[in-house]
Amino acid sequence: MPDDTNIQRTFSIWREFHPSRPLAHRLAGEAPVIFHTDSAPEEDSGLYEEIYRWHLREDILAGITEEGVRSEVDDVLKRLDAAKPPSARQLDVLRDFINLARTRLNEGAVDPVLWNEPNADPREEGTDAVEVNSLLSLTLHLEWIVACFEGRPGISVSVR
Amino acid sequence: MFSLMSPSQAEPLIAKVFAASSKCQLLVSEEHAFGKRCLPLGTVSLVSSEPDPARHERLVQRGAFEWRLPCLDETKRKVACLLGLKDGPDDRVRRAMDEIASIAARVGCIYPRFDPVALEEMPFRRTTTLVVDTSSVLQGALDFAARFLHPGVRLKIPAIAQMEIANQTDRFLKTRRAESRKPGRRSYELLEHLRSQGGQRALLRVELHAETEVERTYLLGDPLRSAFQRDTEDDIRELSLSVPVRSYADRLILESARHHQSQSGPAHPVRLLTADQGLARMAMAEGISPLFFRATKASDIFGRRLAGQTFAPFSGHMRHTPLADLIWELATSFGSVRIECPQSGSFQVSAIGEQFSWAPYHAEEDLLWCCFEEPKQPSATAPVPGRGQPEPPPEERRRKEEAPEAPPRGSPTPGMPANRTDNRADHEEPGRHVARSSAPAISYQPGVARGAHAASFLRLNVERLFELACLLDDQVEVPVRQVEELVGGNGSEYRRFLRTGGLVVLGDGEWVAGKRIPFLAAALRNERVEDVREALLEVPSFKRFGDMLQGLSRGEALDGKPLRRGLATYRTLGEVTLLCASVSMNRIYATPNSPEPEEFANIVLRRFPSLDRDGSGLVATGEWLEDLLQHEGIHPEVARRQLRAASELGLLRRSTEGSTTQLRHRDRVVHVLRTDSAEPVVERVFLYRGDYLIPGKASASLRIEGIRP
Repeated sequence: MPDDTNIQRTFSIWREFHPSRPLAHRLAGEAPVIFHTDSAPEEDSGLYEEIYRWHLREDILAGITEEGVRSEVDDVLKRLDAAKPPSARQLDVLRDFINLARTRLNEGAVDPVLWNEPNADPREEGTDAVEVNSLLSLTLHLEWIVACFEGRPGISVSVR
Repeated sequence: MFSLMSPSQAEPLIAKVFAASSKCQLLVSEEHAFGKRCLPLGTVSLVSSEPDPARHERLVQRGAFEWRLPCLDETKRKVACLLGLKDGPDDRVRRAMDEIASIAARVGCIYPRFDPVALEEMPFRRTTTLVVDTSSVLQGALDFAARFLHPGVRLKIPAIAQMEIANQTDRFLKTRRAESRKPGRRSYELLEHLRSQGGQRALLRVELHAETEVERTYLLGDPLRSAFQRDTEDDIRELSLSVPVRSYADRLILESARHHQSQSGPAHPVRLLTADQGLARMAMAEGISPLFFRATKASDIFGRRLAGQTFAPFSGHMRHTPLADLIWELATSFGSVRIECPQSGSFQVSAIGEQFSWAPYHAEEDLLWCCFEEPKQPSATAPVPGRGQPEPPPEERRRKEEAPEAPPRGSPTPGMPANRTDNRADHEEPGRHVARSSAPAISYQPGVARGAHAASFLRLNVERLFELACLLDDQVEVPVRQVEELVGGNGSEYRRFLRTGGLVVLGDGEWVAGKRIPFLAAALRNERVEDVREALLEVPSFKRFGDMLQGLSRGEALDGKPLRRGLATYRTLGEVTLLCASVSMNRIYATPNSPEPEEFANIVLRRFPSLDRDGSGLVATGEWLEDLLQHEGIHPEVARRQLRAASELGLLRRSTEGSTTQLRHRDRVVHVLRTDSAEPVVERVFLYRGDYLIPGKASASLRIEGIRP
């Protein structure tokens, strides 16, 4: 299991959850909320299950040299804040991030950064840090996630 | 000198290629399908904030590289050209491009696009058995499972999947050994090479190198039924190749999964890893859950930047693909790969070739044949910079290279009429001006080197020149070393010729294609002689030659003395571009006359009787062609074309007689442009051989008669 002490961000893919039996959720001092099974699949049940989770353990934006570009990229990720409704956190936001990152990469706005060994896969050999174009690696990974999950109904994304 | 190396042994040499620049070119070659030429697969740059060669080896080891691939359409076009496909990329080229994308998936630069339900189950919480099919082996899903799902999964590779890859290898080797090199066969060979060798390497990798548990299964086939049948493709019928019976092979893979399921505990999941929709559906219908992924496509990698450092899909750890792994995979899949930088040398890795042997320990230790080449050193006679003589500045060096080979005294200068033209009017008969309308307008273009020196005559091999133009079109940037290999020398005269015509720009250790190179190359590859002429007339020396021809009156031979050592070159260029033709080396005539079929028929019917001296009605074909050349200014190629057109229009009747090939006048030849596998070749045509005028007829005598209305 991943070591959670260094986690900077967690990307999650959520899917609407339609329970097969009624579920009750009770907060202290309040009447339980019942989630019924008879809601139509196209209706938002208000329940979501995390179907994919992926951690980033270092500042992925560290290689971006210009503050303006950095905040621009960060702003797109903030659109995936878990506090926003799922309808505002669709895969399209990840696509926007990918497009923006590609543009900035092509403009040369990103410098390689040294990644420390704690981020390396423990199964791989080698101990010292090496330069990484972290934004490019992130972009490639998000493209893969989008390619896998696109088209599936009821999907939302969050970055925490 | 090639020697066997493992990827880790090669890393210092790969790093050495990056010594002068952090960006290198990546070129691949399939020696039979591509001939001796290479396909550029973009550039590889090291991810480094500081140019520190001491760290390069570390960066190479740790996958700190970016691979920028060229755009898909451009690459497809180049592959089609390399394969000699006249009609552009066909379906096999498109499939070959997908196989190239699979290379990136197998080494881990990209991941297979899994079905979302499959992905959400990963990594598996219970030990699971994955039964893989052939598509999983070829398209990187097997490697993905070995890298990221192990040890939670046990991999089972059915015997039929191994047999399919063994069959692909057999097809590849049979095609490779076949003598025919037709374009269709070459594209087939490329495709089978990419599949079979890439597939075998993937199987060997998980067997020998990955820390993965791989199980074999029984074939489980019906002993009375074959899983393979004879290939019915017309192109390869004589090679007795076989293809798998797809539905039966799929059935055997599913049977492997069912067999394992029956022997496992009820709680042990058995999944089928496949990109085949039909197999996935069949598995679902029979209670086996597929782990489906979408087939890898060329668009997944071409026109994109890939990285050697990627995030592990489930943990978020950074993982790396050593650059040597990518190079090894490309070398195995194509046959050869070269990574090069003009300033620091090149590193070539080959997996197959006539001079290379193979033994099982090569596979066990992952050894391939490697060769590092230092950058070309200056010649021994040239002064070495820094040793007593300062290196001249680049501009001065360039001027020296284009050195003034002064035109002989009295020879015409560009833009000025030739001396002989001054007296032309004295020799011309009234009303006998040769039609000039078909002659191209000749004018100097801005931005092109001018002056007497630029227009001095050079000596080149015209076919090599054309090959060089096509190579520049294919690669855009061609290292000097590659040019030298092609032209068999230092290429200074080729450089001067192309540069003065704006067809090449000299880069840093490489030749860069000029703007007109695509136009010229397309014209050469499509035998569009008029366009070839238009492009070459931008070259001052050829324009000067054209001016000299334009200044001749009909029946007047060119004085070849001003061309000196360049006579043969410009004569060939002139013949190929229909500006001139020769009766012998010393008698070159301008051929500006390109009459329409009606006019041509009139000319022929008027002149033919004068050649029929013995009244037999028959004239030697070469004599007839030479007569039209000398007296009418008609090029043999034009005469051949219009004779056929006039005959088809019923304007005249042509026939031949005599079955013995005419062996006299072997020196009476004309050079013409032809294409072989969509590559330009300069062919010598013997005017006195009848098969030139009427293909398939060796008759040396020609009869031409008018047809009465």
